[in-house]
Amino acid sequence: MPIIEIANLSKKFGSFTALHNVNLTVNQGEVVGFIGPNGAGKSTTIRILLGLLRPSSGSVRIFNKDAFTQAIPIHKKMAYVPGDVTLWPNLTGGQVIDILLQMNGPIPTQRRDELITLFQLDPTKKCQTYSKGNRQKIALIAALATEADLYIFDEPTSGLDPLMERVFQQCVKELQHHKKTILLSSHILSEVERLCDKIAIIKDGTIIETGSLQTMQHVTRALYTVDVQKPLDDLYQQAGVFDIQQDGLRYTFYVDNSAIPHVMTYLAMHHIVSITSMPLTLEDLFMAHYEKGGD
Amino acid sequence: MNNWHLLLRLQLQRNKWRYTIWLVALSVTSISVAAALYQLFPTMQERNGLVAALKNPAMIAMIGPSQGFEHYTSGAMFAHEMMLFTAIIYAICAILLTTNQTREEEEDGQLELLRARPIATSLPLIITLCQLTLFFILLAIITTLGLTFLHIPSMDVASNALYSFSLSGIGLLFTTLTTVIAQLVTTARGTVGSALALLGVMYVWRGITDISNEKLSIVSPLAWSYLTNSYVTNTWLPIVYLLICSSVFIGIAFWLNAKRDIGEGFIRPRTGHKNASYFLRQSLGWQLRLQYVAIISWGVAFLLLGASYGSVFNELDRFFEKNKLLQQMLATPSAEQLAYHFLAMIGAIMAILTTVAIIQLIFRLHKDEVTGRLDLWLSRPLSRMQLLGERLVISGGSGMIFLILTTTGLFLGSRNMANPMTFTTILKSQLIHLPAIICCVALATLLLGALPRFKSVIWYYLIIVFFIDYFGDLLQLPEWLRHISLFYYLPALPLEKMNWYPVSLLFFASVLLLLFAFLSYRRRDFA
Ligand SMILES: Nc1ncnc2c1ncn2[C@@H]1O[C@H](COP(=O)(O)OP(=O)(O)OP(=O)(O)O)[C@@H](O)[C@H]1O
Ligand SMILES: [Mg+2]
Repeated sequence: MPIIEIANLSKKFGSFTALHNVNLTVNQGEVVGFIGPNGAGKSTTIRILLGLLRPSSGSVRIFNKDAFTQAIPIHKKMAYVPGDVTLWPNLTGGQVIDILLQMNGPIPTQRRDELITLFQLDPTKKCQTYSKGNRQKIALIAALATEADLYIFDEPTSGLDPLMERVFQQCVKELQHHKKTILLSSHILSEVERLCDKIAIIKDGTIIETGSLQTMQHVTRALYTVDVQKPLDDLYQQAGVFDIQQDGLRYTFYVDNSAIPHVMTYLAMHHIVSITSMPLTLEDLFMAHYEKGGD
Repeated sequence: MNNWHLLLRLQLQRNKWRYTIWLVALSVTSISVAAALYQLFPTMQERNGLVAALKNPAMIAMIGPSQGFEHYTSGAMFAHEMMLFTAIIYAICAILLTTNQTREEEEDGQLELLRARPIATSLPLIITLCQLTLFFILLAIITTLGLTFLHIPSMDVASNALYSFSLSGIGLLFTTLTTVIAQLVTTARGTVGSALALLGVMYVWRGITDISNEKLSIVSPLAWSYLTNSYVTNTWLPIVYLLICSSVFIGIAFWLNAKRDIGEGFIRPRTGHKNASYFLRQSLGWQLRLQYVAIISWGVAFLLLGASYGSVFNELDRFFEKNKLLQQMLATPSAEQLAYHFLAMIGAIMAILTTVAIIQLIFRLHKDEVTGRLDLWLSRPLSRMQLLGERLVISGGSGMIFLILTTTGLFLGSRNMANPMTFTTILKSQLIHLPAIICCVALATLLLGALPRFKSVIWYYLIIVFFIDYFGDLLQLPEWLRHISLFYYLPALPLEKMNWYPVSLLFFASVLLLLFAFLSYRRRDFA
């Protein structure tokens, strides 16, 4: 069952097109990673999902309701954490959490206190004295304590230390276990790789790739490391082989998945000592897509 | 240290429009009013007629005294009518510009970027002071030249220079005062608020002492502007006071600046409650909580200002008793009429101030929007309609309270009159402006809802309205110009008869404006 349905979404700021024909579907229980370089349009997409911005064209539906006009019923079952949390200077962290939680109904005090302990937040300090990471914790605690069906995180860990990052990831795993739907925008690829079932890559306002990490790896390449007895002089001439690096009698290179049978036959004819292959990491994928963006 | 001139150039470049607008507005105000006054009152006879209207405690408390009543030359008249008013505008300009350069930059984190560079801690402060000093010196020179080119008899270069430099001296004084406050208080809002409060105290102090014990006025630095007696005795001494006082403030600012951390002030925030109270968890509750410091500050200001103006009525009474002769003269109004006239004037001014207060409270919503504070809130089941509606209720309700506080102040302050005015009389003189206040507020809300980028238009409008209402009689402004002010359509209550026609028209317009305001606020992009 689709929770988020974005169809042909475009967003213009004046003459500048921030989003161009974005399509994205997030199904019930999915954890979707939303990645892309700075200024790609992640936050813009998310702010449209929140009903803060109006789409220039296209349709954006959450729980089968329009994200802009029916924001209130949607927000009753949704929680959000922004990447840069700004708060009123003279409220305390604890007060902010309570005010936010109250808006979604009675405050789940036990869950709230658990999370405050888990994230090691001092709720008695005034917001102006919190560091960036601590302000982020406030938003995280308020969101995670909310009994919602959909959670939207926009770079939620950008100010957290590695320890707190791990706590956050633990919490997301828990939500995932409870079949909650999550959209997570992030620059930390290991995080996305660890948590997400599905990934959408956005660049210059267009989604250039969606799918699970596995399917993405199928359409791309894998990294091979081969030890041989004699140099592979004609490796360069094989189709589907890229980025060859030679270190004595050890070769590392990428092979397009479509070229695997052919390359394997080629390698079989030589004296191979050992061969290891590694699936592409998200990092590699990411870099490959970013670099392609020269055009 | 050698990159200071680069930094100065960068800042001047960044602020050039801001400076140019203030420079033009301030110099043109002085020069054009000087020309207008001279045209309106060219002969000594006409000016003496003006003296009769201005030489009473009420007017002195409001616009200031003059040493030149006996020989009311064009210059004396100009300085008397303009000096105090313009000095206040200069002070406000200095406060806004200085806060923008100090606390606001620090809040936005721009200062942090700068401090990361190999520059001295005090450099940003030095640059701010350099810029504003240059600005005020340039302003004084332009104003002097402009006034001199008018070739008005009795307005020679030396007097013009004294007039212009007294004003710039006030500007400098408030620049330096604001830099001190900016070290103590942690927010830009707080800095502006505290500086304006001090300005208010100085104004009230000199108002009360000017009509009761003139010698004590000198305690208020704001009085140093007109104590130079430009065009009359040309006393340069108060300018020396201004310079000494500014130097002291500069010293204190640097001393404090060196001692504090970036982003911090000396008034440290304490820790607070771990949980939100029942009150805070209500939507109206937290909105009120975020505003209450501003609301209380405004409230106290209105009460005090009301009381100070109220006390003027007592003096007005005594003034009439002493001048039995004045009462017998035919053309002179009765004591009661003069009191009512003054009450109407106060009513108009307080109405504009109330409008400013309400709009300021509403516009904080936009600040909260652009800083992203509202994102988290609006991601909850909180509608924009509710947000704006509650903000209007809080701000409008506060506005009503301000009007009542002003009335209470006027009522309590004027108890010593021979025939004290009733509370209802005073209240009516204040409440009659309500339709215009509401209409201005509705207009401001529409700007916030539809064109938030142009929301400062309402401030320019209110400045013009204030100018027109304040100088309407003094400068005998043409009727069509006076109609620009929405407040002008309403009857000045104790003096004139009630007229429901403009009242209902303004209410109707307000309802329409508010309707559009809400519709557009709901539909637009959130910054
Ligand atoms: N209100 C606005 N007006 C004009 N342009 C905007 C506005 N908001 C965003 N943009 C532009 O739209 C583009 C997309 O911005 P967005 O914040 O969505 O990027 P992002 O993917 O979240 O980047 P980051 O990883 O840095 O957070 C940027 O080029 C940005 O400058
Ligand atoms: Mg972003």
